[in-house]
Amino acid sequence: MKTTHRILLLLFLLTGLTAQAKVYNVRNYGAKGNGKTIDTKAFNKAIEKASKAGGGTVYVPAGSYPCYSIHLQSNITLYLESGSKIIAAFPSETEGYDEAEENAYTMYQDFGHSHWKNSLLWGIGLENLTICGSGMIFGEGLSREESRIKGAGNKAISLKLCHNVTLKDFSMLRCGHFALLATGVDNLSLQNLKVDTNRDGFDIDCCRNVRISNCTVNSPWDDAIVLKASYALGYFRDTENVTISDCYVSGFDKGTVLAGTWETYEPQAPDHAGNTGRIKLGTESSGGFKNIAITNCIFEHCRGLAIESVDGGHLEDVVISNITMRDIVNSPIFLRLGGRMRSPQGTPPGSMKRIRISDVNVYNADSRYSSIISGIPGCLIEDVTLRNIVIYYKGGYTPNDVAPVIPEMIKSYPEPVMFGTTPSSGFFVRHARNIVFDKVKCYFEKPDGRPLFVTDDAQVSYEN
Amino acid sequence: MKQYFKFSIPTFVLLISLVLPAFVTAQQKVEWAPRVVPDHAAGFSFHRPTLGGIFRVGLQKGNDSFWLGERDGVEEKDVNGVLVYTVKEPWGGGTLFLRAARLSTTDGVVMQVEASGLPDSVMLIWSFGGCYDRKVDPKEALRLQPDYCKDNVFSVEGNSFTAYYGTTMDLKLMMGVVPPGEIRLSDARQQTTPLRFFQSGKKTDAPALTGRYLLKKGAKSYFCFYVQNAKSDYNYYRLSELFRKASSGSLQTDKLSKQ
Repeated sequence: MKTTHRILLLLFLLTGLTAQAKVYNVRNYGAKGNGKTIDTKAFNKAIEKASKAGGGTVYVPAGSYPCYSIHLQSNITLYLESGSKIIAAFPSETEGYDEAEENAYTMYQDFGHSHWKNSLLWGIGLENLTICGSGMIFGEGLSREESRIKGAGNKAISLKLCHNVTLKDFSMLRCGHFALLATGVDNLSLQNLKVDTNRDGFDIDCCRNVRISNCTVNSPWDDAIVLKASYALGYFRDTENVTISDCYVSGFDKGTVLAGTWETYEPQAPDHAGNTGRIKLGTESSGGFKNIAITNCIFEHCRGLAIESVDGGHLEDVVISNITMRDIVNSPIFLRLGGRMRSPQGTPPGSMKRIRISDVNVYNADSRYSSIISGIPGCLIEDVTLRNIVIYYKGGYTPNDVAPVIPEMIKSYPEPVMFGTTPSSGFFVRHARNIVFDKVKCYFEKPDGRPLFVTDDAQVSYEN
Repeated sequence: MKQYFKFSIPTFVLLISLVLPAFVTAQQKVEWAPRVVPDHAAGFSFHRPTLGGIFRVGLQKGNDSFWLGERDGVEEKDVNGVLVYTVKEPWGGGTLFLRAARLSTTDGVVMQVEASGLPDSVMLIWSFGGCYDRKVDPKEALRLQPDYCKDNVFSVEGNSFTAYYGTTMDLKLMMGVVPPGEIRLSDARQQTTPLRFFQSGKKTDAPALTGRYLLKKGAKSYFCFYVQNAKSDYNYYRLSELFRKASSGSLQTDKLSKQ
């Protein structure tokens, strides 16, 4: 090769190298990764540097990095290398997480939903953000409780009004109130995340165009994947155009799914209604839910599928298919249109319609609450089709177990337990119309003396 | 003026229960005000008025362990509204001082532990459980009964915990902050010794919490059990000051330590 050719080749290679996105290794910015030193400043410095350069990859090599609030920025990829672990540190007398910011609308949803900065990783108003890699986010020092102590953090990842966000491949352990709180985030993609946490997994609140796929979420003490439409932004915003596919949700003892031990020694959630770990729409439902598709998902050792609108939101056009569930501790299917109305005064009641649930198999479901489809007087659930549903209940109840009058519980927090033992063994349908049961079968391990279907103020058709 | 003069009548009853246990025991059949009831061995039961938990303290050295009160050597006295327990440990002749004061803003107690002259490797083992949500005679709540523990849920975060009990439609919480150390779910059916309780594991229908930590000479450690409200929300690093305020004017702790 001639010398000129060699020089040209060298220049070409150099040009190629410099054209690659720059990598900002947190170790180069002072991170120790020794599991003891607080590395927050190094992370924020690396992210800031990358952001000022127009974007880049912030690289986290193997090691344990205790941190308080890490400030995410636009055009950043935070890459968690295999063996890396960002650990949420416990607040100390002198250090802690960013303070929960002011929010004039906190009365319409829980404390956790109303603030974003009191988190391990947070971003507000960002675009083009990715967190990826096979590492772990360990929220050890985050709280799942309602503590207001200055410096306390309660979410692992918190995003508000962002767009074009991808989270993929990493694990999340014990993440406080939320592993992920995404409020008003559009074009959000969650892929191949493995979450084992002590309260909610993913809270997708007021978000549009969301893909959740191939994720595992174990959350025995609250919901696993939950779509919400709160008033935390100070205005109504629907959660819409969401797919949840190929996901596994469960309620095994905390930490035992990621550990691979799958323990079941702790049968209760803090709310005393059995282990949670389910897919749910609601409870926060000031805004609506539209165009939601859930398919190819597995529930195990947890509560059943819950679809709720209780704060005035309009929930419509929901398709759920190819679901299998085992060891379900309450209603396998729970549809509730309620009147809790945790929304600005004057908000009219919501609606629930055009819901298709098909090809669902449930084995070993607790029978006390059966499945429930319940609106409230004057607000009916409309146009629901249940097709190819097979449920194996435990059975064992009698009509004597049922209260003479099933309370409406219009303003209550929606859970099957609020009605007490249901009068039906299979489905209890109330305040609903155009409900179609097509090829729906129930089996019982023990005889159950209650009627299979009980309807009240309901227009139901059965096809087989 | 001492803090408790500002209390409302029910709160005053609670205070009296700390200071004068015999009075409370005599009164409990007619008055179910919220209160904290001491057990004469640095343990407490919490009545809100339903039972909100029972706290016990033990000591361990090697494989030997005992609950305070089971062996001789616990002296209890009231020092201006603060209960002071002086415990002579049997292994090396050291002394443990446990000083408990009630909280002024909520139902609860904060306790300081100080070791003096203890041999190395003495550990304090504690337990908390039995959030029963039914009225229980304080005399029956001197010991943690497994039946009290069913469906108790403990959310442990570092060395703080929240106990959830009651029912879904009427859920109740008790908070605890304990010294840094080991903390774990345990089986309330295995309480014969503190060590056995601590090592019993979580496979049980009677879950309770146990924990332990090494007692260091001269070091002060703190416990706090309370009902959370807007004015009462604590971290471990705040307990020293909380105890100081709760026992304000009542104790010369350095002086007591040297007794």
